[in-house]
Amino acid sequence: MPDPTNKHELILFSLKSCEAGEGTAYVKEYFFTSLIAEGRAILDLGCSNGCGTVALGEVAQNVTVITREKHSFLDVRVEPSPNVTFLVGDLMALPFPEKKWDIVLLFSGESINGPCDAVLSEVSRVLKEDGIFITTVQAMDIALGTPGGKYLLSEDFPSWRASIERVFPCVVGFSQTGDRGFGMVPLVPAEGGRVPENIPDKQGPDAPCIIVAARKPITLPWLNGMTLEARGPARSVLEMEHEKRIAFLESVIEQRDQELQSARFRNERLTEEVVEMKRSVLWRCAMTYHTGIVEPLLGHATRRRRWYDAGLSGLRLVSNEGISGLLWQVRGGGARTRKGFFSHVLHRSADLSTRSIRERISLIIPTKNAGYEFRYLLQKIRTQKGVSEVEIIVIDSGSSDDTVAVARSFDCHIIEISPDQFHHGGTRNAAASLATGEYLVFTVQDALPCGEFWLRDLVLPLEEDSSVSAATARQVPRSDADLFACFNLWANYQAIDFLRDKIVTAPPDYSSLSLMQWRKLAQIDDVCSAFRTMVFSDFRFLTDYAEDLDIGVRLLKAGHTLAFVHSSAVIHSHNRTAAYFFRRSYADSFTLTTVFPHDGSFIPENRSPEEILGGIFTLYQIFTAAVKILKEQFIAELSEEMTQQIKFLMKSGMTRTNATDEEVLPGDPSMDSLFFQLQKKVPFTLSSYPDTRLLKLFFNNLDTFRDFRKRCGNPPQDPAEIEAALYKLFAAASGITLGGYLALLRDGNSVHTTSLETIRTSLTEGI
Amino acid sequence: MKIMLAVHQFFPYHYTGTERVVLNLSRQLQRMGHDVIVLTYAIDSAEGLYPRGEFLAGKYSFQGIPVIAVRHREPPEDLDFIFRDEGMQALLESVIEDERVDIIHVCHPMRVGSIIPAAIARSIPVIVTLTDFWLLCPKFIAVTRGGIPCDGPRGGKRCAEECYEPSWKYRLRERLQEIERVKNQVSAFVSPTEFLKAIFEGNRYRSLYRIPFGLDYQDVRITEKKYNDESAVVFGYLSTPVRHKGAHILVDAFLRANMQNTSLKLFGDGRADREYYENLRSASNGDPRVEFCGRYRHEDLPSILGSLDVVVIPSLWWENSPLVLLTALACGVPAIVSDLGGLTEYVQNDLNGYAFKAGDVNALAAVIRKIASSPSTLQELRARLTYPARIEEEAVMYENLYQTIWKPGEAPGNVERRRIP
Repeated sequence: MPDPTNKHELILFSLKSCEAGEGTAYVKEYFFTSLIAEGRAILDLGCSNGCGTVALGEVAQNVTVITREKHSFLDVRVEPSPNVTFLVGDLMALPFPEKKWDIVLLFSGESINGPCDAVLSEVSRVLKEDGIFITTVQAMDIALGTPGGKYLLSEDFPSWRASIERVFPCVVGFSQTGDRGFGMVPLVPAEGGRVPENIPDKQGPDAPCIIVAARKPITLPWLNGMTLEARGPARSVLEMEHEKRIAFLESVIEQRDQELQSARFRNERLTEEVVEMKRSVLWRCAMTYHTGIVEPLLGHATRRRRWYDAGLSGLRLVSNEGISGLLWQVRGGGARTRKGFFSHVLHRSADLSTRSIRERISLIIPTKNAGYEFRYLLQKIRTQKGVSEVEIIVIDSGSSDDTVAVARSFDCHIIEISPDQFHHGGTRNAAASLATGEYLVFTVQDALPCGEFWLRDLVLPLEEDSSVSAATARQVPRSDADLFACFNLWANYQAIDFLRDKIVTAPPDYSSLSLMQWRKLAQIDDVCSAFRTMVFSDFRFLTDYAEDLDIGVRLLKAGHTLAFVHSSAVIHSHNRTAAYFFRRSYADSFTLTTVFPHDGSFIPENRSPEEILGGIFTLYQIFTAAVKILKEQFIAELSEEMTQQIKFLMKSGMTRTNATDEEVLPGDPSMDSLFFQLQKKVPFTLSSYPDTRLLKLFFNNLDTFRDFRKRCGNPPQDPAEIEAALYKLFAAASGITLGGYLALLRDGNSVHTTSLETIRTSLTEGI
Repeated sequence: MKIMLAVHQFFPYHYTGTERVVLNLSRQLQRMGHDVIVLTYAIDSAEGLYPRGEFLAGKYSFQGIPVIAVRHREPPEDLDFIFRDEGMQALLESVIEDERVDIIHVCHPMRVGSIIPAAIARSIPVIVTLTDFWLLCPKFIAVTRGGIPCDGPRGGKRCAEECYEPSWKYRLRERLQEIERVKNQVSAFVSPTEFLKAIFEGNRYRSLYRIPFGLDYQDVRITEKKYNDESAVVFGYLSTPVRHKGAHILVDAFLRANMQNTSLKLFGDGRADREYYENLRSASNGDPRVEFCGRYRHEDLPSILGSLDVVVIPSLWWENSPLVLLTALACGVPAIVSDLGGLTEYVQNDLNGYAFKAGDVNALAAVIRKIASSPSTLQELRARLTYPARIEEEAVMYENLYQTIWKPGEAPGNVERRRIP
């Protein structure tokens, strides 16, 4: 029986009693605390079943407990004394003023509902200057996401102790059995000291340890007057961030050094191989043949030398690809440059500046309220050089400005239709049916030609190569294009490898090509494209969306050849809101997955459209929170570090419970409005499952955006523009994800038809 | 690509024609995904520069464009004359290597001409845009001391006879020889006008291309105007008031025309040649129709042009492609130009503007009278104006040119045919 005059023994007895009945954890921790709790104000963050807290109430001045839910511990055998109070609250926003508490306890990691640093920052705020923070390893285990834990962190998240050390300069850990490798103090001190015999021990090496932290050195009287010493001068958060940054950069340097070393090694090896090769008899014979026979007899730029080179190329082709490869090359496929195969032998070289288009070109422009630059466009077309005759067909769908009058003043052939008759494919087909030119060129009312030879350069591949049936040019951003508009164009052309002039044909086994592979081959762009009129009349645009890609695919499948003319360009870009990119990406993804085989990366996972939307919205909130945190410090730079920080914060924020009473964090106004409108039609909530596929896609896009900035030399940028671009990046990734999922759900699943149709209508209106 | 644009002076201290061309081109190339850096000579101030051997160098940023500024500790007196400085060349070679440049585009070789041999030494392709005659004429305007346009140095002999002292003959010849030694290794020379291209072709320059200067149409505001025969006409002059720009020709012609429904506004910084400016003011005889408006900011140009009906460029030298003319045309303001240089490539007489014999006061006065007598002709002129090129076009054309000289195998027109995606 305990000595009733010894309060601590009573407490221990009480705790052990609870343990016997309840399997209470933290008996040792509460007992440890009770030794210094006399007359102190204690804050207990999460109290397990409350036994320990109640026990502390016997000795402390007062004890307040904060739990996330209303406590229902009431199986404790001892009634709580009046100085014990239970409150419901958020550990990341403690409802107390600064420096209120003598001791703060955190024994249960289950209480942690946000980033650990944020929780510890709150603990530090409410703790008195000479206060003590006591916590356990078990809290760390749960915080680090051991099985059953809810809080998942990325691999490089520092340990709980390191988190504590960032906030508190004085930290010591207590182990049951001595130093466990962390420089901890045994609960049972060495001989010579007064041993508090009733401290539970002998639990073995697996027993949890206790961590005590403080802002400044303090003395722990019950442990032989041991003093909690500061580890060193307190470090500011900024200093620690700098240390992290330095460590990261050092790791990058180390990695680069390794890459450099292996590159040097490879270089040395290759150099040795080359030296060996040049010593060989075969090499010497080849050189003798070349310098002694070929060079003297077959001079450069002579016809016989061209035939000789062509013959050698043919032999190489046969050796690598067989006779079929040679035949394919001869029939018009394969790489061909000015210096390549037959073209080098047979090509009639001509100065580009003297070449022109002899045949008539019919240029088709759909219009509606084209604006003041329409005059500029028409003037540029009419003053093009290198073309003989250009017929401009303007098909206007109800302009209320002077578009038609301007077109008339430039001798355009005008067709007027009503706005509801407009159809992206059908309208262009109608105009094409009236064309009288040998070549058709499609463009749009706000795409401005670059240079005096734009039209000639676009049509020239059709004029000079009878196998080419269609050509497309690229778009360049306007001088008022925002950062994301510039990136969007750049990234698009990188993705479809439209970085130089090229002519393409489809491979024989095209049936297995993915969407991306088709886009690289077939992405005609009706912002600026050209067709042979006779070929176009056989194929025509068949869809109202992605009609240009669709016709490109059909042409290639039918054996036609397409030209991508990178050197010909139109000025065309738009500054849009994030919500636009969400809707546009959704429409692209939703539509294109119906046309092309998907690669199976989207799996519905038995989720409803509402759940999918909820998952996307949740991640949007997590992203918004990350942006707000980083806004002040990093966002103007968009460095490698900043992108890593965004990823880290988003991964950290990935665990959220259903918290329907949580406030929605405002982010991008257009996206907030879009989600608000969507929720009214398709109710969704914050989801427990933020969408991981979207996260991955967004991270890829973020890396691409960072690469774009790096390519431009990462020039200083208005932080607001970078922030806006990040929201648009996220919006685009969200739209693609949503479209991909919903396209698969649509296929044969009647349960979600109504929701799918509602979402489709809401998102595609006006796109 | 990493592109270095070299120019003799740059923002924030200098903000006129060539500097604006470089700034606009840099920004558009950045938008298109290129890494752009500007190299300039810090002629005004060594602030922010650090010692680098016997030179000073530093970096700053202007409107998102990184800039490397270099200068001598003490700029030599003949800085604007010399083409190549050995010490500066060594410095620029190390700058090129540090920055890992792919292409060097010299937009004006004065003060930074050493970048050309530096680039050649480092096997970096280099192109030169000809904004004036500096490579032929150290005074860059190609006008003799006697005020006569000059079409070439004749190996330096003509310069010594007509512009410099005879003792300068050897220096002038040496300067031209230095340029001659490197010019054939320059990958391309680019002129904004056919006129300038022809001048340099006549002086044995090869690999010449024409790429017009492009305007940033964000700076363009079109003011709709209606004219009838009772309309008042406001003539405008927007340039630095110096002799070879011909402002005195305009003031004289305006007063001679003596049309009461007209007024003349002269914009420009009179401090460049105070004596000339004072003479100009005196020449106006206090006529209330003639207004001297002083300096103007580039940002105010659209609104200034909106207040004018005609812009006059009465230059006495071979103007090439003045941005003021291009901006005026883009804003819908017709122009009267002297018939020298590249001006008449933008203005066709009696079609979309007027051209008069350079220096002929009576001819200019006749044009002023013609317009003032029948202001409604301005409506027809406006309708026939040709829009100048845009900065996006200029950037695309330069990008195609860079591609040609940087990776010849991927030059425009060199078509790659492929079967596999």
